[in-house]
Amino acid sequence: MIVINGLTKTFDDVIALENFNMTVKKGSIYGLIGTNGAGKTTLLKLLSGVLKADSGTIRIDDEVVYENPAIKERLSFIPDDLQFFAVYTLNEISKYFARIYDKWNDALFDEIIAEFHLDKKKKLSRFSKGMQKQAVFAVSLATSPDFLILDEPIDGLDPLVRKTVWSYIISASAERQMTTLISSHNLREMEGICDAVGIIDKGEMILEKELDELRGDIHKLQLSFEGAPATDSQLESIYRHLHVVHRDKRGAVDIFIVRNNRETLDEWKNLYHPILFDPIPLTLEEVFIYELGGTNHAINSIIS
Amino acid sequence: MQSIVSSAKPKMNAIIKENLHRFWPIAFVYFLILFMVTVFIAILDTSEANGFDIIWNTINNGRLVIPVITSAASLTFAVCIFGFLHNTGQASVTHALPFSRKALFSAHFISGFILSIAPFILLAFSMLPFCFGANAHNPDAYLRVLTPSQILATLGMWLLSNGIIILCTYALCVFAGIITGTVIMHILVAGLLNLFIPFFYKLITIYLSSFLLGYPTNTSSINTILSYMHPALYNIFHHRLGILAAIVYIGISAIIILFALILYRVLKLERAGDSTTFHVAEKILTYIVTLLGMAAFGLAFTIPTPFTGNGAMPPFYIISAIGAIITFIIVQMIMKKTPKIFNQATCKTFGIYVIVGILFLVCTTSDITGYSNRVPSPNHVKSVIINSDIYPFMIPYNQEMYGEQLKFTKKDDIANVTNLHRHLITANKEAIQDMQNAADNLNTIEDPYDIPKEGIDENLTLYNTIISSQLNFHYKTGSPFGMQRNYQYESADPILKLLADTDEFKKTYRLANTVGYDKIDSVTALHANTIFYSVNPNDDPGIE
Repeated sequence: MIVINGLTKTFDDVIALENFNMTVKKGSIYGLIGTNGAGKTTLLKLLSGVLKADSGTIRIDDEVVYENPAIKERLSFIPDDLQFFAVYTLNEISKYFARIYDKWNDALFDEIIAEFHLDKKKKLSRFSKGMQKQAVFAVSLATSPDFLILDEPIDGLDPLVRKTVWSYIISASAERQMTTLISSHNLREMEGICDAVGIIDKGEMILEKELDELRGDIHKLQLSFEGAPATDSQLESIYRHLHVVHRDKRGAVDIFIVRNNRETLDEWKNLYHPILFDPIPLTLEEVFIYELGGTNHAINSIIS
Repeated sequence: MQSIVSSAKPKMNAIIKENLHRFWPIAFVYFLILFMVTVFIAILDTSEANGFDIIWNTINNGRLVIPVITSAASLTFAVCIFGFLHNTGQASVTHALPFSRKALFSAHFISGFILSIAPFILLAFSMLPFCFGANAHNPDAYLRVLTPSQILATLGMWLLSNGIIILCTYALCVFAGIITGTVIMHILVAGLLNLFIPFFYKLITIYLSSFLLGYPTNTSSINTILSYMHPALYNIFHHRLGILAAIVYIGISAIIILFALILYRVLKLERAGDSTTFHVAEKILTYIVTLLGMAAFGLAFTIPTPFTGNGAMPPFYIISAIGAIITFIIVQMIMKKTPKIFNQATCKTFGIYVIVGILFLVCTTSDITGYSNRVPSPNHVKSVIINSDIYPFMIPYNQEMYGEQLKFTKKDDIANVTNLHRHLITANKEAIQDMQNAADNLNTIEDPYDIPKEGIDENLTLYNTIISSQLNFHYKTGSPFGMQRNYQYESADPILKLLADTDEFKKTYRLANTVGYDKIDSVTALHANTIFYSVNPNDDPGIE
């Protein structure tokens, strides 16, 4: 289990993370999403013990990570920049990492490499960017980590490879209770694989939930009532039971973004009997846009 | 916990092995270079004796090319091995590996050191059969008298000397790698750290000898001090690294390594890619390089001497200031990695530098401590040695006694010496003042072809008289450093009689001590080929 409390990290006079809190359950797949420069990569480097926090704590299985080789032995981090690996062939890197990681799994490494059709004798610098990511993913998974930390691992990979990567992660989570923390901008795929998500903005965690809970909590709701339109005060009275965070109107149809679960919405429906009642759970991408885009231009794209 | 500790070492070995595996071709290239400049050219030499001389000179630290290669190898491996610190991706993966920073530092440091010294070990082995072969087959070779164990000991000492040079240079280069964030800066700062102290010392001595009357200009003593400042220089000047020097340099290297480790442990990896990884390093490097730039400009374009007149000082200060500004701007652009450096923070940094620069110029060009007028009290002097480096000084009976030293320990004799010292200060000051006046007068002449000839001749005569001889005073006082002064003097100055009148001078140079009375048959005093006094000691026992 990963627990972060009150984490703050500054780069000179720039605050990268401030009073940041996060919890990742053991064996779960956690998606970290945020705009560019939100602090995701900084967070992952802090989690991997690469950077030192200014204040706050990062605990993995109740142990601090920074300067803790024992925890780092159980952790594998794939950064966005793969320059480290570029000078090696896969054969060389596997030998090197086998000497460092006690739980190095040669069979798994060979299996993944075969799956990706990678040449073990070729330098990684000669691979395409996507192939480099596959190779490093194979290396990373072969260290048999209990905690896998991936910084945008699937960007640049083709759909087939992405599917394979996800399948390895899911099976490791299921079989070995491997905890995975992924930062990615591919929200559609994250939605399909993650158990929980955290949305970071300007160094702060603005939303952290189980994905199922998140989906059930925010809805796009289309409503219409029979007969002449009610007065504003009547409508306010009707809608006051909903947690409306945005509202728009298209002809006789009212469109809402509401922070209510399905049960609450059904109760409300039974109370007011609208002729049109169409609640749709928001996708992760819509939640992301809604949470970070506010109610200006971005929200329009969700409700239109 | 036990398992963590026990597994740490084999894992460190993994990094060492990996570095050796990756970089051994570079070490091999260095070996080839070393082999080429030593064994290979020795083999090619048609004369076996000359060939062996090359090897012999090499193992006796007599070849300048070896310390140069040593330093280059140290820098190369420091840059290669610690290069991971200067790339964000490499730094991230390396520090995510299951190692503490101490272990990472140690493993990388050790592997770089092994790679740096490996070419020299290989070369030692390559030279070994050549040494023995030459020893056995060349009857004229002077090494023939050496036993195999002596050859091995000489080779061992050569290896040790180079090992210490590598250790010290490599430690400084690694230190540079930790305080910098890019490869280019690493190389520049490593060069600066290795050369700064000797270069700065040399610069200071040039300034002080130009501006302080009596500052020792003795090249050999300056070079001696200079040689202590880096083991490579020590090797170049002394050709042999003694036990004490070896211990001192190993100690200094250990301190540098420890300091580098401490900095590495607190290093902020997010600064990889910046010019420097510590703000304070940026400031210090800026001040140092600007100071060197300022001094170099001052030296390159104009540096006044006591003889150039008062008019030379303002241009010197102006050129120094321009040099400081130009260097500061260039350094700041490199440090900030942008030409847009003109802001409040830069002005503040330059403001601080101005104070440093003024302090430097004041301390080196003005006699603020009364250095020039200081003459020790005879009561505080344990002994004083006088010598003249350039010409034999008052050696009446033996022209071969070049560079003879006169040592005085008696209070009365020391008093005579300090009186002479005081007189020389006054005489030098007067001479300098005359020269400055002459120079200022020459400067005011509008038509350069209308210089009064008599004036020049007089001044040249005066100048030649002054510079004809130099006298060095080495006082041994209560201070561990003693006191040294150097003055020009007129060899015909009657004040020198103060020395001749001392008991210790008489005791050292009286005729009896030089040749012995029993060997003197007669004494004849001549002046202008005219004998005006002659005596036979057998006739006159009171000849002394």
